[in-house]
Amino acid sequence: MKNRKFILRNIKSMSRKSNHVVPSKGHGWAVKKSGSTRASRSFNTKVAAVKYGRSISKNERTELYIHKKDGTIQDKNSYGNDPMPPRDKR
Amino acid sequence: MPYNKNVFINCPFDKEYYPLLRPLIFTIVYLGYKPRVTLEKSDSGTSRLEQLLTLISESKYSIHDLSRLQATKKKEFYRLNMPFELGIDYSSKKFSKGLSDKEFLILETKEYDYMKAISDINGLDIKAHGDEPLGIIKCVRNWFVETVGLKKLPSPTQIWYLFTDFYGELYDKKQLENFSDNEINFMPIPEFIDEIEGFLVKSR
Repeated sequence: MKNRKFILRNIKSMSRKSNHVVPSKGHGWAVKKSGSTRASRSFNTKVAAVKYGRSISKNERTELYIHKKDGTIQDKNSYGNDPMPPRDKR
Repeated sequence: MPYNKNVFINCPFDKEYYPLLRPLIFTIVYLGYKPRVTLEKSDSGTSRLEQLLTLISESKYSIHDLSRLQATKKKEFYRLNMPFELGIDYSSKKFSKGLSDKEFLILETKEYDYMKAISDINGLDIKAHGDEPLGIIKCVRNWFVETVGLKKLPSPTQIWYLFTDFYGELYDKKQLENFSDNEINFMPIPEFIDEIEGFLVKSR
């Protein structure tokens, strides 16, 4: 029974949409949900976008991907039961 | 892939160009076409020029990025591969039977930069990406609408957002397989194309 609850909780966490801090038009930054074609919010600076992304990811207990200007991953923070936790960088 | 789905990419393959190359390849695959590059096969028995001619003859569409022609440091040579390959491709359209329907997109950083170096190409379809990943997506997406005739495509920003979703998934997947960040970001082009195709099949 305990095991079933654990699996269900994990499945629930995996199905939650992660958040992404991404470069937007011009020199701006946006926070968007995975799978979404629209930004949740736009910002003038990356610092402000990361701050907002962290706060909603903590509330939603989801993962936050912080992208670089070229779209590659700068950092990943997990605020839920991350099925794929970040590991030390080589 | 058949001739009319192949897109020959003529661009630099150094690390400095990867920020543009990744979204360029992603956009082509997303639109249902096959990027063809000289790096797709490492056959030491075939010269690079022979590989090039094969790719050119197998691809109806070509994207030539001339944004990196200029030497950036003192004593650095001017880069001639890209205009040379554009020349071969253009001649193949003019002088080879069966290749007269080829279509080209030429990319540069700033509008009319090409006029300073290779003004003979004036009149061809030339677009400026501003060295921005979203800029190159916009150039390629719009060219597919204007020249190839695709309709009802998502906006450049929507394709860019999908690219960032893809990259998040790629990062997780490859980390589990014990790839380093560097190995993820500079994986061989054919492997990168496979990953994009796998992601798109799953997300459609």
